[in-house]
Amino acid sequence: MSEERSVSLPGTLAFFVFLALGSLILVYEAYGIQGLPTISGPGIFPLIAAGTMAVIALGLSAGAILYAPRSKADDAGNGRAPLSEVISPLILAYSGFCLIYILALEPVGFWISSAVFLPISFVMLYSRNPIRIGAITVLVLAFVYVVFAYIFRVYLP
Amino acid sequence: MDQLSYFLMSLTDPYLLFLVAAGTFAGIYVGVIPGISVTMAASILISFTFSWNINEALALMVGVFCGGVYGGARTAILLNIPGTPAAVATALDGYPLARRGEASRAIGVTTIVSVVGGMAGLAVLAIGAPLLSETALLFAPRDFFILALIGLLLVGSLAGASLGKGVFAAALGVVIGLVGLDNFTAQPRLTFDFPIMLGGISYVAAMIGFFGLAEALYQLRFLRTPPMIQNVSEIIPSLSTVKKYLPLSLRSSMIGAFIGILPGAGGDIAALIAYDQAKRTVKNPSRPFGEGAYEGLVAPESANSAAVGGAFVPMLTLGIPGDAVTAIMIAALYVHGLRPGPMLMIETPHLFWFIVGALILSNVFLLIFGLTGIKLMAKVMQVPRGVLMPCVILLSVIGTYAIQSSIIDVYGMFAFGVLGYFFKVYGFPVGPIILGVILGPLLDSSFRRAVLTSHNSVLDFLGSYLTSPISAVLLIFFLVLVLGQTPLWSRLKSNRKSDQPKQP
Repeated sequence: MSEERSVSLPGTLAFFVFLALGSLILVYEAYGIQGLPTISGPGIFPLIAAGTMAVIALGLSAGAILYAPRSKADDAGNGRAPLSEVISPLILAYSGFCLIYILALEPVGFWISSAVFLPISFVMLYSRNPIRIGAITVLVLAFVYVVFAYIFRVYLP
Repeated sequence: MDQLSYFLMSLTDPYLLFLVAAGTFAGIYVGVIPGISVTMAASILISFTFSWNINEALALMVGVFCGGVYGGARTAILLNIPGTPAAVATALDGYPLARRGEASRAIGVTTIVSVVGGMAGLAVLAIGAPLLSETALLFAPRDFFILALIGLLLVGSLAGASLGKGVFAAALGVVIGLVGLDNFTAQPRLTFDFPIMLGGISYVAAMIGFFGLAEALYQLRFLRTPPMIQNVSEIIPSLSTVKKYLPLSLRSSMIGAFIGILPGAGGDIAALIAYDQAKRTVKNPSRPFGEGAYEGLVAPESANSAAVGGAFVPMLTLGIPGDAVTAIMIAALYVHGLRPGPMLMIETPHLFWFIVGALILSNVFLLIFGLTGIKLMAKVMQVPRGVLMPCVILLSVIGTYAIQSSIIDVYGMFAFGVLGYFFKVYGFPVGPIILGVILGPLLDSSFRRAVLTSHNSVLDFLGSYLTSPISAVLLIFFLVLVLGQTPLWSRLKSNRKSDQPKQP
């Protein structure tokens, strides 16, 4: 994805500013290791890396402010991309659902939470045919059990 | 004699034989599924091996790596989507061949030359690694610092359109790699006073987040894209075809193997250089390059497969990755308690010969699986994303939890995944992150050790490069590489070209 393309994406400035703020927090944390670090001190590379991040993120933010299209006409006919280019309601809803699944893993257990996660995922992303969904879910869970739990003996939550 | 028995181990132990075969098979077929990159597959699959015996884990990892590099070519030929960076050059002539209806023959030729390249790379590995390992014992910390810097130059090729974003990603990787207790002073670094961060951030959780979950979420944007179908049938090429392209394949393999040895230069650079070399040296290609020339397929595929063996040389003897996949391999070796570097060959020489044996076996399986299973491949290519992506997320969760049975790692993986999704949307490459994670701690420790031995003096540190021929050569090599990446060098090159008299 080119620089020009990303500038016209909605939320670009907000994301760059978010990265800049995150980087500055990292710079503060890196500075806290030993203040101004000596050349062989433990703080030298954290400070260099976090500082590099901060400088680039601030530069990108400044670029996004300077080159942001002020109106549709300013953008040489390209226009601002729709919000769905960044995140669609489906991706937002599905990410939230994934978060719930991950949070439920420990209290509910892997098998029950996955047995709920998979069919709902297939409904959201693939098909509403209950037989097809049920068959794929059973197939996937059986595969996970045989390959990971039985053969590879992977410890599951 | 011991070395020979380790060399033959994966061949004589049925379970190890099965694991190499399974890894190669998985590597090839995940590369075929649109939306699943080899990097993603490697990071998820490798995580399942952490509780295994080291030989079993290495057998699977070697198979996935070999199969994955080859598998990347299939999507490059069939869909014009390189499955790995190493397959970028393959798409230049591979996709035009598929559009001409010659996808089957192209895949067949690719399989044969990949095996030729793979074997040539292995010969270089078997000879080169022990030699380099002995030399690497003479390396001082300052030399490792330069080597790590050379590895970081890879950012240039992984960064894509925006170098700034690539450097940001690499710096983020360095930060992730440095979280935890300092090895020298045991001082907490970048932990935000959270005791749980003292042990550092799980490299593999970060990798699965950035390459697995992030990619799965990103692929949801293309949920309604119909699966692409290509007509592929008989793929075994004729003997005359193999004979015709064998000399070019061997030449390109040598280029690939030697480029693979260079720290920081992986299969992608090897393939591009071999393609360029073929373009300049092949007098009568089957078709013009870029329009479906078999020579344009043979050269990069031989080279990138040969680069696998070559890339194992700096990976095992110096601990320097050649690309994102080798960076994942290094992280996996760390988790198994192995420290890739000069001491690996000294302390565990048997592991080296075991890896060589497994790589040879993987190439044999590559030939078998590469020339068969076409119907299965066509089916795999048509799996809907709506079915695939929840499965990827499920595997990401299992893989992350499998590392150290920590639910915190799974939460971390999710956070990295969401961040990785926005990185992808806003054009930040995620490859340099893993490069930074691996090279950051090496840069930090080698630089500080070198400066400490120079009595904390920058001048003494810089001067120390003139005290040893190895250091001086490495420094010159680094400076030449840096110069080669500057606009000044490109301008000089283009000026030289324009000064040459034009042929009538």
